[in-house]
Amino acid sequence: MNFFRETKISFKIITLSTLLAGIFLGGSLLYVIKETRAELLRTSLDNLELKALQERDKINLLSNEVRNRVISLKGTPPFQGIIRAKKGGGFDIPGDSTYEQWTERLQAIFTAEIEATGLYDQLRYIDSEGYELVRVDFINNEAVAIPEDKLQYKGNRDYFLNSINLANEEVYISRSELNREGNPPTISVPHRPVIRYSTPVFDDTSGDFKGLIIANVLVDSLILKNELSNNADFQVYILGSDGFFILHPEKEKEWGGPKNLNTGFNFSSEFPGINLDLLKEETDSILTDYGFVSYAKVRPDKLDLSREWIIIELTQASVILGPINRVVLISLIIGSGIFVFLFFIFTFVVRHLLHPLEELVSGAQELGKGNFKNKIKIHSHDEIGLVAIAFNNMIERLDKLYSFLESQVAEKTKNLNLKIKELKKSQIAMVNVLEDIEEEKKTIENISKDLEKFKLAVDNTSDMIVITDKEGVVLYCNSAVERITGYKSEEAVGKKAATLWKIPMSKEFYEKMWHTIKVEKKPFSAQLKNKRKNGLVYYADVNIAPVLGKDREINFFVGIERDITKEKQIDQAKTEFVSLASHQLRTPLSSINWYAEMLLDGDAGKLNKEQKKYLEEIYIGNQRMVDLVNSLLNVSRLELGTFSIEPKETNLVELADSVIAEQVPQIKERDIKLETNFDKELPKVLIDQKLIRMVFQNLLSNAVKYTKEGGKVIMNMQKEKENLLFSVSDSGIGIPKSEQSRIFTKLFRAVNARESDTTGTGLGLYIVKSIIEQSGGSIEFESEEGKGTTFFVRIPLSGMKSKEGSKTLD
Amino acid sequence: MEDEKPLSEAIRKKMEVSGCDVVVARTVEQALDYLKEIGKIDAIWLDHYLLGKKNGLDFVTVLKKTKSKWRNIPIFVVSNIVSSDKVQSYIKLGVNKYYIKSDHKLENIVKDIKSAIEINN
Repeated sequence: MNFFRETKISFKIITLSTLLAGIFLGGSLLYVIKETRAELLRTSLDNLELKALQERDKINLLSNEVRNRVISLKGTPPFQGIIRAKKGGGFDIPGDSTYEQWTERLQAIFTAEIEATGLYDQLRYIDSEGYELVRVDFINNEAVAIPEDKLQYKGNRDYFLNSINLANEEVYISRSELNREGNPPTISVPHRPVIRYSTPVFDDTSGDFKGLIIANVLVDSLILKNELSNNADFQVYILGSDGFFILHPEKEKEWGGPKNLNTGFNFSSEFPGINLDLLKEETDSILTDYGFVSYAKVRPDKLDLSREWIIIELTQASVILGPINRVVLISLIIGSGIFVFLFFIFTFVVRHLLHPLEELVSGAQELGKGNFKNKIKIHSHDEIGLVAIAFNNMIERLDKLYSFLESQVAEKTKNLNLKIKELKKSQIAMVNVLEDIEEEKKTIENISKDLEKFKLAVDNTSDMIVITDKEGVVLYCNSAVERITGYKSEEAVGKKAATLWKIPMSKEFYEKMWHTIKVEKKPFSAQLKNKRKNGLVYYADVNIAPVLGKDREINFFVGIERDITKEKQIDQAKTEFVSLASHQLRTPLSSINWYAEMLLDGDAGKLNKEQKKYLEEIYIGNQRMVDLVNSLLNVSRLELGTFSIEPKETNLVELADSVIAEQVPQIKERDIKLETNFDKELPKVLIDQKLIRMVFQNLLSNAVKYTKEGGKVIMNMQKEKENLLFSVSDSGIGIPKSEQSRIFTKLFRAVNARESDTTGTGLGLYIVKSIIEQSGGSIEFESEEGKGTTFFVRIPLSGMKSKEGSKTLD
Repeated sequence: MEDEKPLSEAIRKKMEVSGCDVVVARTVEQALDYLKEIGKIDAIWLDHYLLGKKNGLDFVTVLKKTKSKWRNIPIFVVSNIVSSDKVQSYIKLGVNKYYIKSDHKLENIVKDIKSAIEINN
């Protein structure tokens, strides 16, 4: 049902009407076909019957005609003439003719009759005894009068015997049979089926029976055999009253009866399946296994009911039915064609009719979508057209209304939009504000959290933190203040920081301080001596920084002081230790040195060669110790960080030259060729002279020391980008590859150096490296054992940074 | 002024060899006493570390006081201590020279002192 609901009207109409039309048409067609078929059948059969009937009527007609003719024949003069002649001894007085004349005349009449009608095989006048008096035969299509001598006696024949008792108007009609001639009578060939018509002749005057006219009528002429058509579709049979065929499509099957050909071929032989009793009507058509049988019964002799012929028209069922079925088929085809044609017509018509409906539908849909401009185009004035008109009117009104509403709405909307925009702006602004507030809040929260942390950190840090206003009045002290200075927070707040625990410094100091923090607004660092509340003096690392607000105005000062007393003490202790160590180590060395020296100088007397030699060894050994101690002390200072760096603008070339000057004795002694390539344009560099001197000394002395006698040493100094590059190259023993990595380590001496018996502490390069690195420079070397070594030292032209320390290296 | 006996003996010997008369003080007090007693001192060999509470720096400070009559005596500080601030202090105070004991031959120091004396005279 759903399907039906969904389909379009046109579809419904078409389907239904087609269906109805189909049913109607189909029904009608079937009925028509049925009726037609029956009719056709009836007609065909009627035709068939008609044929049979026609044949019957023809036979009847002819038979009657023969009867009549025979009767009229006997009225012709020759018959009375012969009678009179015979009575008159051969001459007829009234007729004035002889017997022979009358017989000749009769022959002529018979001949004329035969030739004129073609009906007779024989015409005879037989006397009352049975002797033929006149006979004319039809032989070879010719009427031939048979001479007297050939006339025969027929008194024993049944047709004679049956006729002698007839009345004047009566005619005896014999059964049909094949003509026999001769004695004994044999069937004449070719076969001549005849029926004998006989009628008595009476003397007019006396009324005595005088003889018979016997006409042998040819059955074939009677039945008009020539006119009967036999073809494949129609077969005509005539069945004699004895059940044998008078007429059969196959000649040999005719005259099968015992009196004739005696073949025994009868109706049942031809139609075994048909019971002859079926043919019980006068005329009818029946359908048999052999086809349609239309028959008509004929009695040549109406009086004898036993003698009836059946004229059978046989036709194959298909012959009758074939055309009928063809007609049916054609009808069906035509019917179907009509049906289809109707269907298309319907479809077209319905569609066409309903097209306006579709217009209506689409129009309504458009309206449904909100399209008020779409008018429906329908031109018919039928119901659909009227609806369309009404619809269009409605659309027009709706359109007007809608336009009006639209404009109203647009107006209002515009206003509304403006308002909304305003609101949105306010909203955004509010949101921004809220966001800002949120951020502020968060920031504040974070700040307060951080602040808490800071406060905690500041409060608990081990360093003193003092916050003052821009005049230096204490605002805040952390807990370390009390711990270190002994002053409680309350005691300090509100007082000027400088007055509290500081030991007053020099005027210049304070000037510098205030200048830095107030004017330059930079942090100020210094080391001060402070006094605790209990009077104890301690050292502090002080850092005072200004806290600037907007416009770089000073809001606060933050001072951080670290009690470095301990550190100082430690430093002092370190320094003291090194001092003490150096003093304690050096004193005995000096002692040995000087005594050995005095001995060698001969201050205690002249020495012999050996004594001198030994003393020299002592002296040399002691010297080595001194070197070692010096180096160790330098190393310790380097490591403890207690050495100072005092950079001065120095001409490094001059420094190098002075170092070379010191080495001249050793250079000369070993016959070393010294080559110097110093860039004269080198700028002065800010370096600690003592330290760099040590570097130059060490590298040069190494170069000289480790080069064979007569070798070469080259010193270079030039600018290299932002560095000063100083290199010392020798042609000495070189550093073995396997030991190059350790050359800068403390107390390390390469194997070949030790083998060469030169003296060395193994600390020189370590000290050089430390100094160079402390200066922000770099040192590297290239060396090949046996060939020589080159050291490269780079010092930044920007110079060394000053460093405070308790001692210098030496 | 030298607190180590062996060293002071070596110094004395060397100075005497070069023709000087030598007195050895082992403390600042002793040295001051000598100064008072002897009157004419041509040069002072001064070690930093001495016996007693006072060290060489104290001694020099005393000597270099404005009103002191020993202000101009050449002082040669010969010590093994190397702390740069001590050295600075000595030099600031106005000593003639500072030697690191173990770095120098006795002979050379003596020579310097001799020549300073001769220049003075």
